[in-house]
Amino acid sequence: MHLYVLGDSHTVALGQGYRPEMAAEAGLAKITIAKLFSSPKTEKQFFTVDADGIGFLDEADAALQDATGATRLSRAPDAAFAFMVGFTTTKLIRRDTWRTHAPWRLSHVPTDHYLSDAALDQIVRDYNRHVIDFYAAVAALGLKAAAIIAPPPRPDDLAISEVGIAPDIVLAVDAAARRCVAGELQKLSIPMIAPPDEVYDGAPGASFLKLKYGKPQGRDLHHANKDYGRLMIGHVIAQSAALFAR
Amino acid sequence: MTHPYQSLPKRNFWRSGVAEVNPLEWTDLYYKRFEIAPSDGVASAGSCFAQHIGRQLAQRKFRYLDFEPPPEALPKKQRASFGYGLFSARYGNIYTARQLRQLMDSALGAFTPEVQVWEKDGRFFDPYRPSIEQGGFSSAEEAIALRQRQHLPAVRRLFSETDLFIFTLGLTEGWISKRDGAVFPICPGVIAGDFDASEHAFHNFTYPEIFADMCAVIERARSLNSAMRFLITVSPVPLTATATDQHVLSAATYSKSVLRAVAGDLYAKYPFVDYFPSYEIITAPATRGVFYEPNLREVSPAAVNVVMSHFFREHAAPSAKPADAPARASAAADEADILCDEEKLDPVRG
Repeated sequence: MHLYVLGDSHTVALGQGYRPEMAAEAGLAKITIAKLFSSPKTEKQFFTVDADGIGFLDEADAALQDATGATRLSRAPDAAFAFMVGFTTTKLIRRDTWRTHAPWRLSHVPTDHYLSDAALDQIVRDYNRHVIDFYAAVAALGLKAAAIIAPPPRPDDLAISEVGIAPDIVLAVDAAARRCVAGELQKLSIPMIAPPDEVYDGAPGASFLKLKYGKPQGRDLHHANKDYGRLMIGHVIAQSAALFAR
Repeated sequence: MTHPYQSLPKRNFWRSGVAEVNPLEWTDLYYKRFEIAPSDGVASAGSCFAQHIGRQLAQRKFRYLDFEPPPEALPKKQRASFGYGLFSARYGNIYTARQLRQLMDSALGAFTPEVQVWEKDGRFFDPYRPSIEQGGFSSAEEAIALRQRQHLPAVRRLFSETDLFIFTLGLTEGWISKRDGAVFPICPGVIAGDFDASEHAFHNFTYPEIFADMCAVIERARSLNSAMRFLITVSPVPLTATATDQHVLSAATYSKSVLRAVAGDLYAKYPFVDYFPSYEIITAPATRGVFYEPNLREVSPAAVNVVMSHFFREHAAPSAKPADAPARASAAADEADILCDEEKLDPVRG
């Protein structure tokens, strides 16, 4: 049985945390971990669907071939996929919009304008529309698949330190975007693999990444490090194992 | 023998000013009362027709103000359905003078309606702007909070900062709450809420009431903002439906006649109020109804352009881009995005 862990640049930390013996420990023949693209790719159409399965566009096409030996994702009884796709909100939370607009529930945060839940939902749904389509295609194809929830934003993300967006707004927008994708995945019965509580600096799922799990590199203020990867890949492998029983 | 008519220009005579002239070649229909400087902040409100005016002003680079601009991240094709970009704030259609006065009073803390929320199918609506979120709000708390914390402060800023306020009078008919006289833009039960004859009453506002309401708005606005000027128009769009016992043609004629009389008397009373004859241009017998869509109610985009050509002949568009202001108009939506609450009264649209 072969587990493929594929997706955006957050996959790199998982690869850094992976130890070769993890596959055997999980009773798997092989685990492949590969970055296919960087997350801004998902703001546009990034995949194709045809009779042979799901393919990827641009550089992700070659990356898929390198990782899987195939140009398409397709059903196979001994293959399962854990996709790090759709929960990376970096480009969304850094948009200038959030300097002038905030969700209405954040009445304690000074801003120029407050937004309704529906307007926020429309924004995140638009941001995630290609991701939602991707997972719909995954479900339609009948792949054994799970979605890996990306690490939470960091408290030093450029959205806060440079764009000047209030931290509470960053967390609220990030949470709304993730809820949007999670809701769609639930409808498709695609399981999600969340980061362990340990990585949050406050309430799990509603706070920032602990800085000790952040990648300490220049202006890369949204990736997690290999310590995070080590914690998370264990979760991914353990929870992905259930996919093979489907 | 001589008399005053002998020295009047051609525009003063029906034959030479209207009957013998191609309506597309009318001239001298409108003389501006005052200039609109490129730096003047212009805001608009009113009935559905007013959306056309604001849109064209923004497109022509007048300093059209938007005190509730859309979030840039909201897709452009979605903005109108959230009430963004239709007017200078997200008040939706303001059909009656009483509605405008009530909005101003609410924004200035002088009136808080008892009825704060309407409900429909588990969603919640602001009764005084029920169309600005077409799917409603998630809770009563949200509807009320956004009105109090977002919308009314924006309206306060509008009255404080606007140099020229353009208002299109739309209707005389309205529905009011028997509890406190609050007026709704649409009959309860049409978009949301439930009609209750013990709670809601029909009222056809009279000339004295409308004139008094407009004077109150104008004078109160000038007390906040002494340089504010006004441009009044009357919507040429007839009633979708009347709640009187008259035929809709009679009811619509009454409404528009009253509104036109009010507009004329406001012009006569206040030197800082101008009147623009969009109503006359569209509805004149000489145009033979060609400016209307087949339903004889909506005004065609071409007709809007004809109307506005008379306006821009007097008020030339600014030649340079105005300087950025705290509230700048968002990108104009398409003409197809005119949203009209009143149309919902008739489920069969022609």
